[in-house]
Amino acid sequence: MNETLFDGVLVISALLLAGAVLAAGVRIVRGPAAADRVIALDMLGLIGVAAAGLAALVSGAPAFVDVALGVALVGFLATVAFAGFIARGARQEEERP
Amino acid sequence: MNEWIGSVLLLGGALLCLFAALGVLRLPDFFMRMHAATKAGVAGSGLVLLGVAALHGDAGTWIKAALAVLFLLLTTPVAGHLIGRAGYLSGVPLWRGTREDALAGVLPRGGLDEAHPSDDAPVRRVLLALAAGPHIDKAIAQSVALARRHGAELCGVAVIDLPRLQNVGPVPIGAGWHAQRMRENRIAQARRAAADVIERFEAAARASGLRWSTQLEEGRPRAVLRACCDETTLMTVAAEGWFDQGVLDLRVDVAGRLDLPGLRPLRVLR
Repeated sequence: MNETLFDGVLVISALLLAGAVLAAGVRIVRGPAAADRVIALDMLGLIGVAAAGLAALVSGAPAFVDVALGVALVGFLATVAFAGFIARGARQEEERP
Repeated sequence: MNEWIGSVLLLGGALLCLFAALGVLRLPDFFMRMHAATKAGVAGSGLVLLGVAALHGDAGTWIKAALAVLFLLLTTPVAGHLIGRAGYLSGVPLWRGTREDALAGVLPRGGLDEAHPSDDAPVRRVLLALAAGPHIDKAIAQSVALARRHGAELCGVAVIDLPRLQNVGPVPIGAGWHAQRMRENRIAQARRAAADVIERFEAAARASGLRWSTQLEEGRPRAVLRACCDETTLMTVAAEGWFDQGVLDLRVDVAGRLDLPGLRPLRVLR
């Protein structure tokens, strides 16, 4: 496979991921519920994993693959934490009246 | 060779990521968005990681990429389950076309819940689901009174429960023609009965002097009526009637079958 074709593949992948970031970002801004924002954030985390992997190729630094691993870990923890937060808020709402 | 495989994986993964994000942006309710983000999202980023490993080619990258993919596959379903549960508990609205809420009555829904809009929200429309039955005349009179009290528009929707009428049970071999005739007969009968009920409704509505309209629909009653209603609609129905329009002489718990999530509670009249 020649160089220019390979570069083209990297550029196209990066553009697709950029479009994905944009779509998820719009959902974060729009909401409407907190849960919608959290799920869009989770999606951003997944795109971040893919972007870190792509960065490893573009820069030639394999350390970016470790970054991908890290982002996958932290994204999961963030989603679980937010889920607990939302669920607890709902329960308090339930008990108030 | 590896380069080609890697490139294909990379492009496919990035494309799946884009689709997942578009799903998160465009799908109509929270649970569908969650489904797009968790399934397509994991597939997308997993493919990209595998593509990166295939292009790099050394063992260290393969191991790290495989670990990351494994981790994503293990954690995202858990995260999706938790956030879905949290969303349900916090009461995010379900899509209007939702047929069944399997968790209704199992998990409490708080906060944002639209399941029962407050009773002091204005009623703009009284919608009587017209089904031939012993109480239909009283139900029409009471609906007119309700509409007058709320200053609301009066709307009569006659529904013909096609799936129920078409279900003639097991048919023995060779009786297909008779079964078909039976279906057609029942549907014709139900249409006549529905037309009769609509006529009675129209007479009462015309005499009342209110703004009114009628509609005749065929299909699944729940889905049809769900599509006709919104938050400002008060739906009423006559007790002991069903949308076979009296053809099958069913004894059905109307209130139980028509209790639609996201709407005011149904008013059963007798």
